[in-house]
Amino acid sequence: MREKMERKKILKIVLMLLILTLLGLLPFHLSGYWVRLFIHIFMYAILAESTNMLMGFAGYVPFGNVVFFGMGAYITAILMGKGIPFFAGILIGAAICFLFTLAIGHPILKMKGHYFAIATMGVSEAMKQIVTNLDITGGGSGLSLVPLSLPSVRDVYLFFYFLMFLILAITVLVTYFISKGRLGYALRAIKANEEGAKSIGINTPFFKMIAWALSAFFTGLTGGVFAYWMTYIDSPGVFDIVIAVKFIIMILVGGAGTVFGPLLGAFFIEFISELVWSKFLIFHLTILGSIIVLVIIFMPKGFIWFYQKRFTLVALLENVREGKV
Amino acid sequence: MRILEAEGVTKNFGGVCANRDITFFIEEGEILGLIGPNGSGKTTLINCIGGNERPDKGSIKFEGRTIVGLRPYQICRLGISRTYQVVQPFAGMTVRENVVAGALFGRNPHQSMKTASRKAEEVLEMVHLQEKLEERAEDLTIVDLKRLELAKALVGEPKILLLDEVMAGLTPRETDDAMELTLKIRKSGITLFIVEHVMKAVMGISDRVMALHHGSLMATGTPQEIIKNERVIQAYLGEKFAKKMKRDKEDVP
Repeated sequence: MREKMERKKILKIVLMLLILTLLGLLPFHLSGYWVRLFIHIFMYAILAESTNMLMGFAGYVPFGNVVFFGMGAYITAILMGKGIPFFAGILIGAAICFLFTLAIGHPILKMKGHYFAIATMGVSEAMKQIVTNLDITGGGSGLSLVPLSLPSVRDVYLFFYFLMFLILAITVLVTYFISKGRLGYALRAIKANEEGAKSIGINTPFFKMIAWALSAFFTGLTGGVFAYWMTYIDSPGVFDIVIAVKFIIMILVGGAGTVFGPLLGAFFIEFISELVWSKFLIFHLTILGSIIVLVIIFMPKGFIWFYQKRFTLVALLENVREGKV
Repeated sequence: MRILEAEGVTKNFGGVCANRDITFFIEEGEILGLIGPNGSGKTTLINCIGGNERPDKGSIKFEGRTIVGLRPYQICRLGISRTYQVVQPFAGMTVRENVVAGALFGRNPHQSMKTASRKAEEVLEMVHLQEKLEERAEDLTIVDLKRLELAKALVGEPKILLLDEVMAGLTPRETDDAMELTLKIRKSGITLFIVEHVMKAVMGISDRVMALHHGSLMATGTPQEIIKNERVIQAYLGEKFAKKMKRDKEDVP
C-alpha cells in the first residue's frame, strides 16, 4: 500500500517535470499564432486558479473578480506612464489590489451566495465607471503604454510567454500550499459549514479575507502583464464581465476547490473555443455552449472528479440517472 | 473553583423570553446537567455561552473574565467548545480532515500539520471512529456523526465542553457507550455542561442538574434532589416517571 503510494507520487512528479519541460520548449517550435494562444491560456489559467482560491476552497463566488484584472492593468499603465519600470508597476498594482480587498472585504464578505456574487459585480461595475470618468486614466479613450522594445516580435512573444508561465507556476504553488495548510482547512470548513467552522475556533472573516486578497493579488498581477502585452487598454475591455464569466466556467469545468482543476478547465475551454471558432465561424458559440452543458451534465464536479473516478463510463451515466445537475 | 459564572442572563426573541434572569455557575471538573421541556431555553443558554447569541442582559464570566460580546471563535480559543443539537459536519471532507481542522484551530492553534493529524487520530480513537478515518463526513450514520461532532469539539482541547443533546436518537446500547465516554472525558480533566432529554443519562452521570422552565431556572441540585422536586415533576418529569426513577434508585443497593 505504502509502496504503491510512493510509486504514484514519483510518477506524479515525473509527469509534472515532463509537462514543465514540454511547455518550456514549446514556444521555440511553434508559430506566433500558437504562442499567442498559449499566452492567452496561461493568462486565463492564472485568473481561474487565483479566483479558485476563494471560490473553490471557501465557496464564495466572486463574480466581479475581473475588477482586479482591470485595476492591475490600469495601475501598471499609469505608473509606467510616469516612468516607473514595468516589474515595479505590476507588483505595486497587485499590492494595491491586495489592500483594496482588505478594505472592502469586511462588509462584502458578510454576504453569502448570490448576494456576495452580485455585490462583487457591483464593485466591478462601479470601478469601471470611476475609471471611465477620471482624467488620470484617460477617461473613455483608454491608455496607451510604451511597448516593450526587443529586437524582434518573436522575442516579445517569448518574453510574455515565459512571464505568464512563471506567474502561473507561482499561482499554482501558492494554491498547492493553501490546499495543504491551515488556510486550506479553514476555507474548506467555511465552505462546508460556516457556523460549524466558527465554533471550532476558526476566525472566518479573517480567512475569507486573506483568500480573497490573495486571489486579488494574482489577478491584479496578470492584469498588469496583460496591459503591457496589449500596449493599449480601455475600461470596457479590461473590466469586461465576460472575462469573469469565462474564468468561472473554467473553474467549474475543471473542478472547483482542487489545485489542478482550474488549469485543466482553462486549457480545455481556451483550446476548444479556439478550435470551434476557427472551424465553425457562425455557430461557434452554439457549439461551445453545448459542450459546456454536456460537461456539466456528465461531470458536475469537473474533470478532476472524472479522473478520480478513473474515467469510467458508469460514473458518467450515474450522474445523469441521479440527476445531480 | 468556579470555572464559569453567569449572572442574570436574559435573552428575548421579539416577545418571547427564551432566557429570563438565569444565574448559575459551573464548578471546575464537574458534570452539570441541564434539563427542561422543549422550548424552555436550553439551547439558547448554550448559544449565549458559546457566543452564537448575545444575551440582552446579564454577565457570563469564564475564569473570571467576561465573555459576553466575544465571537464564537474567540470563545472557542479561550477554552469553551460546543457541539450542536443538529450536527454540523464539514461535508466533502473526510472524518480525519474534519477533526484535523478542529485540531489546527481550537484552544491551541498554530500547530504543525503533523501534530494536528496525530492528535486528531487520538481523539478519533477515543470516540471509536478510528476505522472510518477516510470516510466522507456526509456518508456517516447519525451515531457516527454525533461522535464526529464530539471529536471536533474535543480535539480543540477545551476546558469546558458544552454538549447539546448528543444522546438524542441513540439506542440504549449506544447511550450507555456515550455515558461511558462522557465520564472518560471528565476524567481527562474537562468540565462538562450537558443538555439532555435522556433522563437515564443525565441523572446517571451529572454531579448537579439544573432544570429550566419557560426560560427561567426552576431548580438546581443533585440528581436525587431534582427527581424529588415537585415543580420539576409537574413541569417536566411527570408523576409516573419520578416514581419509577425513585424506585430504580432505591432498588440499586
